[in-house]
Amino acid sequence: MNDFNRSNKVTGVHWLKKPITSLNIKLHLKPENGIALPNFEDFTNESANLVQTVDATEFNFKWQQKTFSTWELSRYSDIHNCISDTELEYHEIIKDSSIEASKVFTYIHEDNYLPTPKTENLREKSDGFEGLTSCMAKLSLNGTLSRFVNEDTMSMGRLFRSEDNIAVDGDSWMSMHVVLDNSEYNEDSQLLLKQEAVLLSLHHNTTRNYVIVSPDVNTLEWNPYAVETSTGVRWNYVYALQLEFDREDDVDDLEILLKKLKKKWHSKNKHFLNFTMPSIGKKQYFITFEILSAKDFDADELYVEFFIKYPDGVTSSDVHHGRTHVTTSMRSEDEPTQAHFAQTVDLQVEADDDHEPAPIKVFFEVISTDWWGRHRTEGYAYLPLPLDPGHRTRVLTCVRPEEKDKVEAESRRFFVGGCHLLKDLDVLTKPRMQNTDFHYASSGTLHLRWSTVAQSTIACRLPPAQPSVSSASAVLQGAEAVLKQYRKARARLAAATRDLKCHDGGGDSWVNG
Amino acid sequence: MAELHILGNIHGASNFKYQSLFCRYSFQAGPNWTVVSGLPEGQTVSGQLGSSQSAVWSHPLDIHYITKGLQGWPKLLLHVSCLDSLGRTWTVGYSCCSLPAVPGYHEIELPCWAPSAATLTDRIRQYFLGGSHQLLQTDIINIGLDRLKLKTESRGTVKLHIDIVLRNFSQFGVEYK
Amino acid sequence: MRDSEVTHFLVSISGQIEFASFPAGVFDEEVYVQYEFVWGPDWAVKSGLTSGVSQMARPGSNPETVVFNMPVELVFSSTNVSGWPQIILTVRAKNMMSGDSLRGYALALTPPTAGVRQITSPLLRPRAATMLGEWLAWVTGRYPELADPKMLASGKDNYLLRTESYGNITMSLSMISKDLRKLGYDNQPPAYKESS
Repeated sequence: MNDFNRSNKVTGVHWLKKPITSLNIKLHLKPENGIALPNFEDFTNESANLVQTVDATEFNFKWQQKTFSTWELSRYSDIHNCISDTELEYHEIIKDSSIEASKVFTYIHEDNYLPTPKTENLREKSDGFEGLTSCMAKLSLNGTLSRFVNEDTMSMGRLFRSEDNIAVDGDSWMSMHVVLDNSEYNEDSQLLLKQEAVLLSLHHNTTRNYVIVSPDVNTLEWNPYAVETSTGVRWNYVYALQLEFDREDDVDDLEILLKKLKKKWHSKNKHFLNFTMPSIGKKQYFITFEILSAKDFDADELYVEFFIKYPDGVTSSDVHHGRTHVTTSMRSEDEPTQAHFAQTVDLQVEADDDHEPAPIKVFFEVISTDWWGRHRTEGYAYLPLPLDPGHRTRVLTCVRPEEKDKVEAESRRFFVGGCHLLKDLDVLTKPRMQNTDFHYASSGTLHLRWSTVAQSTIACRLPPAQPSVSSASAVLQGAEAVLKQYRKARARLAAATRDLKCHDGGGDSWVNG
Repeated sequence: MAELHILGNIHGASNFKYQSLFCRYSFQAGPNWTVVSGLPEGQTVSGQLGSSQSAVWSHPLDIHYITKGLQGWPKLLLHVSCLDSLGRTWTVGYSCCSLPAVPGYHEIELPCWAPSAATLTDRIRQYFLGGSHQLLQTDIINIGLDRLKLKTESRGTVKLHIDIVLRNFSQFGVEYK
Repeated sequence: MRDSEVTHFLVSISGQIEFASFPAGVFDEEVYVQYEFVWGPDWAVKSGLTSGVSQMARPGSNPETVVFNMPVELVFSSTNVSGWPQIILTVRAKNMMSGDSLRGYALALTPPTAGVRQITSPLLRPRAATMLGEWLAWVTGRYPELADPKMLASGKDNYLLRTESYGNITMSLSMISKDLRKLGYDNQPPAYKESS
């Protein structure tokens, strides 16, 4: 534990977002400043030439990339030294190609250089690599997880889960070690003294798909790691680690593609699927008109009957006629008599897009009732309801046809009453058709309000070739194209993440659980 | 999706002959419309009739609709109720208005009515005891084309101050002004 | 910045709280007004004071009005029109008899359309729930007050508060917006004036 605290080396756990095969380990090695001057032997030793530059030397390794030390090279080049399959394989590699020895070399999984974390726990610090052991002990026993988690907080749940059963059977590990070779050789690359220091140990848990990096990544400027042997003897080198992933253009492209696709899909969605549009070539009008009140009528109990006539070229909803409720007028000294209706009427009208339709004709007949149940016309009004959009209020003055003879008119009205005096309401629109036997007396006013909203299909968004196709199939076609693209993209995504899934594959049970 | 914002207030009521009035309101819209934020139903404070025979509520409205189609443009339904000194309440007016589709500021007056007492005894009871007939189905406030059977009395007027803000309607070929 | 990257719009509200008018005259020695802005969750204040207190004022030649001419200036940014800022005014008075007491609350929506708008909003005053309370209010000249006037702006949970209205307050506020159009909003009335 002391060791652990004294050194600045901590272990990091990295959750992999990309396949581990694309992992790139970058190691900067540099002689420690000002402490050790290079001695003569170093200059004569060819393998040590690398470190003579003051600048850090960079080493790059891929995951499970075998790099040989001088000693290994000389050992494996002789077939008699090779016993196991791995060693034979190395022999083949060395024999075929001219591989140079590296000062910093790797032990890959097949070398079984150091125990994997699982076996570590079972063996209880059997061999001397205490840094890793303590790290492992800390990782598997201590609750202070936060220091290990550096990047992917989204995966915390997995981390906790794995903390519980890190040593549980079934976890399989792949490890790799980057080792500094500080052995002493003679001129013929004969080994005089074998000295090796582990710079980095990587353990990949293939079940859970995470990597334990010991020590964790660092920077050369801020916290360089000192090279230490397993017993804690320092060599005069400092080093820094970086883990990088191959820039996968494929994935980036896919991301961009998906984003674009989403955007496109949304805009399509917006225009075709989510908003009801009128059929192509038609224009729809939504009119809400309100009969607010009738003012200045003599009678107490009033209602309004209305008739709607649609002009040619306008197909309409089924509203043609309606009656409001009967209401008793309010009388007060300082205000005109008023009867409140507040009735709303919704009309939905469709017309051809290419020409402006004529206004809808709305006729109103204000009728009074009395205690005897007689209905009398109090006044007629006519409103040409233009179909241009807007919100309008209008006060209509009502007129009442009366017989020329005043006495006759009064008496008929008083004794007989009667509504629907006009058989053809179009008279109101065309004054010249008026019957000369009657004159028109103005009575009260009718207060109206209406608002019109029009909707037309937008010309530029129409499918160009098939003007006769109905909007529904156009929608489907658009959606199908989008879906096709989406499927393609998904296939690509699956291809790109196949490796990930492979690693995940073994852990299905707990993913689901 | 197009969006509609209704901002403003229910200003108050005038010409009601009751001392203390409050109002319950609800916005009603067709199935295409969804309220995203705001209170589509609510109740104002109870305002006492002031100097100008009007009760003031100044009740804020801020409603955000999104819609998939124009059909069923929102309407506002009101129940004006009175609160007497004994804490009793009853409805004294119903009204309904369709909301304008033109952006900008609107002052809207809603004339109110209430079902009238059908019989003489009802009328006497209402005169002395208060209370009123109430609609069992408030749907009738805003629907129904032939409502001749309904006998009502005209009541006062409610005033509404409203600002309309629309979003993305013109993208769908909608003309509103 | 490309149009598609615009996510916020800016709203600048400036103007002044002009005067309070009390139809029956002002009987207090000094009247002052506090203002406070209330806005929705998507909104943020970019600059300006969200609350303030005016000077002490008293009526001049016209005994019914008290002129404040208190300037108000704020810039908001938002992503959503919902929650448009509202201004809550608290008119209070100081006099020898009752000390510092409430004269009324007013609530007004800042104009959502560009341009100047004169807003007159009524002053509301909560009434005491009991007869005794009302009598006390009449005697002392002190009226019940709201613990948090902001509740008026939310429009809910008023538990049928009993109020009375006395007087009103007039503001003239102007609104200037940026990027509101780019985000697809339309808040401007048509150029022609409807005949009504």
